[in-house]
Amino acid sequence: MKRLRDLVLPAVVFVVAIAVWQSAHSAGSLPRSVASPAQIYSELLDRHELLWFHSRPTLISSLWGFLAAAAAAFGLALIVAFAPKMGRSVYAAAVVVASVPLIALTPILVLWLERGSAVRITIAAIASFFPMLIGAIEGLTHVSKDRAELFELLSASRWQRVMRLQMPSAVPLAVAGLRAAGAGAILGAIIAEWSGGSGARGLGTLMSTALFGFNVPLTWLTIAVTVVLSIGAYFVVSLITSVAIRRFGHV
Amino acid sequence: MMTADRHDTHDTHEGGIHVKDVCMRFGKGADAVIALDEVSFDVADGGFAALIGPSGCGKSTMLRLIADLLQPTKGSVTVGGRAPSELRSQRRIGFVFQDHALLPWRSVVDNIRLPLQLSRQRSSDNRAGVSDLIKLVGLEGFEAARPAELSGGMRQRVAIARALVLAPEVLLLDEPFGALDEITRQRLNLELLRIWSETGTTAVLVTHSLSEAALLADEVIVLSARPGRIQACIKVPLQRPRTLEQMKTAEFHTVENALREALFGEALQ
Ligand SMILES: Nc1ncnc2c1ncn2[C@@H]1O[C@H](COP(=O)(O)OP(=O)(O)OP(=O)(O)O)[C@@H](O)[C@H]1O
Ligand SMILES: [Mg+2]
Repeated sequence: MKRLRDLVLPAVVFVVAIAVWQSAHSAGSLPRSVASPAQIYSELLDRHELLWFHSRPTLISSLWGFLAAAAAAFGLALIVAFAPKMGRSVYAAAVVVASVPLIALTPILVLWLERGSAVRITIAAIASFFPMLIGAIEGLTHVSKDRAELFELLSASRWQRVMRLQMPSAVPLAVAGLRAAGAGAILGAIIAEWSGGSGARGLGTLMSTALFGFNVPLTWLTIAVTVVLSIGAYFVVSLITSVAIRRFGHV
Repeated sequence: MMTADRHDTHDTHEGGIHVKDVCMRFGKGADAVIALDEVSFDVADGGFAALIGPSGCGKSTMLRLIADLLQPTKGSVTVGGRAPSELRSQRRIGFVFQDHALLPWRSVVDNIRLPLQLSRQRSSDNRAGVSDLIKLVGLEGFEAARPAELSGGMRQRVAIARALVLAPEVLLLDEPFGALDEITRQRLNLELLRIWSETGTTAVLVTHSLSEAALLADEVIVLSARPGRIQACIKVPLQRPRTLEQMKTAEFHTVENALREALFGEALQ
């Protein structure tokens, strides 16, 4: 019953927003560069094969980028857990990496890695890396004081402390980082495609083609699909990690 | 001043806790806080002491000094003639933390087993011990439950069982029942007494409750605040085993009043 109510309210808000958007469009009060929901929908019916053709490589690259970033982030976080003095340097380096403008990075990577999936995967990884790293490091280093004292009292080794206390304690924050990073991976892949990093196929490529061809409905359709994929990524990550949360999420 | 240090190494029958001229200062210079100032007291081997005093007078600090979680700025603490650091490295100190400090991802039995795992004792060697302990603290049937599924009183029992699983020489309890209602608290008080007498460990309890201190302890150490000093040491001449009935006696009220006076006297200064 409560779940139903949780769904009803967002659905109502969504329907109302669409209705307002559609009627504003019909009344001519929106700029010509904005497509109406009806136009976007009919574009979806016409072009869904093309859309899937372009979305699939984007999704696959996002996934690889996400996994690579997760491996790097958790690896670094574990290093920090065993060698806390490394924390500041790792943080500083991560902030630098996270603030590099990805649009500018793509052409540089193209010169280095050649146009293709590798560039897209790299950008997706960089775009999703930061929240994962923050979540993992904060989770591993912020252990409740009493529990830390308990391990000290019991003369636990560093290995025991990391494995039996810090890692389980880190799960909720690490998972929050993963969730936040899902959408970043998809946006990263699209940015790489958009700025010409991956050849002819890709949702970002389709988006830029539509945009520069003044195809307003197709542009908006690609935007809508991007939003849906990003939200989808959040839910997929949430679903997969819910097992860990059930096991380690402390209520 | 150094008398407590005589024959440190082979003084095995000279058990108990000896706190001698302990000062504890946190921080340096103008920001320094003197948490404890020239504190000395003894707890007999197998005895039960209670520490009471206003908030911030250094009760938790005193327990941490005995547990070697802190080292005194000055003075010495010995347990059974040995340094707390030695005891801690042998995992001979049981500590019940104020908010129980259970690991929420572990079941009751796995929480109790944690000290065994960390000291690399095979839990199969000790299984009988763990199940006896679960019986001792009255948690049969809840072995597989997670802390989140337990009541506050049950969580504290798990914490007590965990503190006892390595058969510690001293059991330190920091307001273990502070968050519980009066009825549960009294029941757990009696259980704690039973456990303490069955295990023969030396116990130090920090509490804010005068009646809890009077019911449990052989001697109550009253601390004053800022800096933490010993205000009074009050012996509790009640017979053991203690019962709730004793709480109605004139003797009990005399002890409680003495404690109250020691505390209030300090507040009026
Ligand atoms: N790690 C620390 N660093 C700095 N000051 C500390 C530290 N631990 C305790 N203190 C200070 O020492 C004093 C005594 O603290 P302590 O926790 O021992 O008091 P307490 O008697 O246990 O109080 P309560 O009854 O509120 O638990 C306080 O003034 C506190 O601010
Ligand atoms: Mg305290």
